[in-house]
Amino acid sequence: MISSTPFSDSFDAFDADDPLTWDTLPIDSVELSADQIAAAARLAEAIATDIATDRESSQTRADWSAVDVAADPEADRQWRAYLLALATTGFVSWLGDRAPDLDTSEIQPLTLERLRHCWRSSPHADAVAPLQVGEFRVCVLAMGSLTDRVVSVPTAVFDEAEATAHFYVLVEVLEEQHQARVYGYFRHDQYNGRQPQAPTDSPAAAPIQNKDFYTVPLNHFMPEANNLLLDFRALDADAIPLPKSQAPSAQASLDSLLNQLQSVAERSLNAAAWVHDQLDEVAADLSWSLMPELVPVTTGLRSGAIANGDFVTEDAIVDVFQDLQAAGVDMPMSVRGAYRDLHWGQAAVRLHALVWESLDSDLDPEWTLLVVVSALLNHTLPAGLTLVVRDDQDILAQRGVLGDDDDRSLYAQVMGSQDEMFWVTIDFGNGAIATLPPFAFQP
Amino acid sequence: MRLTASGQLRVDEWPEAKTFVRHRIHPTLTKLSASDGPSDGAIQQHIWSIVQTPDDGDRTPALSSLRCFISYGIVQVCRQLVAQFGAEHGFSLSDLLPYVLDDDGSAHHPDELDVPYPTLAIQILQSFDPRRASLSTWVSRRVKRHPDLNRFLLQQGVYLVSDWAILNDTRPNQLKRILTEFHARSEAEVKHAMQLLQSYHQIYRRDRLQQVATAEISRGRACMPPTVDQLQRMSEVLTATTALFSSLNPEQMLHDLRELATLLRQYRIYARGGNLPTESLDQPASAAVAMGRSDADMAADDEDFLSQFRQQFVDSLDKAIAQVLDDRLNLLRHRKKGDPEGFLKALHLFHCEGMAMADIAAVLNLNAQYQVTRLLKLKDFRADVRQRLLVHLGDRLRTLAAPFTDPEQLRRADAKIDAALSDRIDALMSTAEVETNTARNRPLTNLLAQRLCRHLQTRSGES
Repeated sequence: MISSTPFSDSFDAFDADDPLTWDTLPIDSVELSADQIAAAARLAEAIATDIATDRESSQTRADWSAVDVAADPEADRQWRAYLLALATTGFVSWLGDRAPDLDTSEIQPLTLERLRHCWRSSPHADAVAPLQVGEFRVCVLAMGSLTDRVVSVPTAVFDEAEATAHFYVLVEVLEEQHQARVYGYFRHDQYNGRQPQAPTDSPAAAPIQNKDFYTVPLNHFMPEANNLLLDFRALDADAIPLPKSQAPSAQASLDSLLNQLQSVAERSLNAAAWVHDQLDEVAADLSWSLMPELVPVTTGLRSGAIANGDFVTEDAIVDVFQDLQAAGVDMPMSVRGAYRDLHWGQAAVRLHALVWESLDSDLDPEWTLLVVVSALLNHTLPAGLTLVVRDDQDILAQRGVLGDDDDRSLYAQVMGSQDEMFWVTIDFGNGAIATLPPFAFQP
Repeated sequence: MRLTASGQLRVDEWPEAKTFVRHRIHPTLTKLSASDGPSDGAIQQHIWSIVQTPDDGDRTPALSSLRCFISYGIVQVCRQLVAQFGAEHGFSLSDLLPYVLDDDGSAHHPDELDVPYPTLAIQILQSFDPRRASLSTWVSRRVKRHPDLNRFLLQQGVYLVSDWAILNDTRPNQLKRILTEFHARSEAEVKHAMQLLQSYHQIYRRDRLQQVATAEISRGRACMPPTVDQLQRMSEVLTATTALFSSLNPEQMLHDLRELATLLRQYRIYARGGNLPTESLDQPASAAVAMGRSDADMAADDEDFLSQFRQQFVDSLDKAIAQVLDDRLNLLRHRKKGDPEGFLKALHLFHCEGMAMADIAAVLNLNAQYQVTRLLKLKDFRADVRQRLLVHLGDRLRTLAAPFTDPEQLRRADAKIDAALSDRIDALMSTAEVETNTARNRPLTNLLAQRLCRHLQTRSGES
């Protein structure tokens, strides 16, 4: 070999600054199987869509606007949801291995549905809450391969009663190595109302409005997972006081969810615009599309058919029109409407809102809202799907998909004066609920 | 340097290369540089330029000398790894080198490097660009990132996060903060970096999720560098979203992404600096020690404590030990690579015969102390026993009644029990009990070890 003197120095000197260093795999990390990882990826897709749907339609979270959805691209949300799904899977595995004496029946086995249900309480890609372990509620947070000095925690999981937890557990996920481990945790009574992060200068830079997150220093998480087990096993749940919950537990029924709608929302869809071939601003923001004019045909063999155009879901609408006519409803000369598609996981439905005016009474003009939920191409409506239409007082119509029907559409028709609004809610039957802003008719 | 067929490391000399260096390099550079000798970078650069010059007669020996240098560098990197992790994680230089030291020593002409299965050395030479980094840097990086090497290391419990994993897991606002605060970059640089990251995310993460969702990733776990196709798609996204960018060629894009990853990696080291819990592998930390009590205090306190509740305490302890063992064995039986018998044996050797971890590894035919540590998970084991014990003591003992309504009180109770289990309390054990323990070397005379050994004896007696 050549004289080694000139070269040996360069290696020694170089390595001192090289950030490419190895780490020891923590002893207490759990291994995630390929199947668990695949499931997490699929779940992440479903969750990311749920969040989008929730944000657009939720009335109780007035902060979420269409702008947020655009600024938090689906790709980013989906990956964060993926890491969080891995973190949760790892956490539940670890609990099962270390503490079979604890009651983990609420979360074991960790099915898609269970996880989505927990996720519903805090619709973020950044925290899953609450998971039920015995009497305790747990919020899981994920940290990826970039160890950071701070952790962003959604304010919702501290402040909102449905999402708040006794323990906030940070799980470190090594996606590449298929490993996860409990990095540390803290109790709710220890977080002491951290200040929300100040907003950054350019809104475009931050995917999510910063007032929705607390930045918690990493060293606030006590790095001793065994103490978490100690707390689970020997602590009284009352030892960690939580904000009182206004609503019932996470298993909210459809009725109680609707009961939470106290005030009239600021934003409503103005169907009157549709009659004039225009999409109103709110509908446009929420990705509704205007439908072509529909003309119910009342005579001849194609009774109920639409004479105009070749609209893709017109079969479902045709059936509905036929039903209505058979029921003796006065069909107008022309029907206008708008539609939007709702997705979750693999399934998709199309929601149509059709309207027309009735000018029978000069004193009090009325309008009709016909809501049609139809399955998209080659699908049927999922069993358990429920459509509810209500006004500000009562439920006016409730329709459900029965399991054994080969239903292709569901509809409800309501009528009211032109200063009345109607709320439409769709319960997908798997924990996902879409609540839309109300429909109004204000010419 | 190279490996012989039998796996031995050998230092070969290449006379032509030696001659080349002596006669051509040393004189030239001594003339060019300052009095204290030529710098390494200058030497490499010079030799490299000779290789690149088409009509230079010394190209082949120049190439040979570079290959020598590279082989030396490869060995250095491996040596460092062995020094840092080899003992605990059970590997030596001879385990690592076959993955990376594959140059066969045969002569090559610089124009004949396009072989179907290039050695690592040739790959390094082909991809080397002196404008980007020195050759030593380049060798080090390529070796450290070698996928087969890393796969082996992961099996031994040592892992390296790839650049791509770091980029995947970094969010745009994190990047912004890290570049601005930690690296003090300008606003323009930060903006550029964020756009780059976002275009990477859109393509690479999406593809990875798809692969993962179909459980395709069963063979290689590591995140591979982006393909040319991916880089092109990223470039398209980048130009679509920013008016300012001229289209980046794939190579440039790859380089920029790696640089970004390196910056993040530096931050990661800083962030991990004070946060990793350290633990001696042989002696799991005792809470009593952490509380800083003196030996005298501990002995007096614990004698007092135990004398009150001794019988209940010992009964509950026995129950706890039995339960935790059952759970652990159950878990190991259901694991593919679980070794319940090995676990029991290791437990016995450690507690009842006072054997060191490294020796236990030898007895169990494991080649690393790390593997014994992972098998036993002593800290967790002790914690589980303590916690179950606490639950069992229940309302027999007012001061130790679970469930606790005060978390701090719970901590103190846990610490007290830990102390009780760790300290020497021979005085409290009756002579009869001490005599029935047949193990000859008993350096671990604490209560936990004693009751555990008793239990293990009973258990093995039954089987």
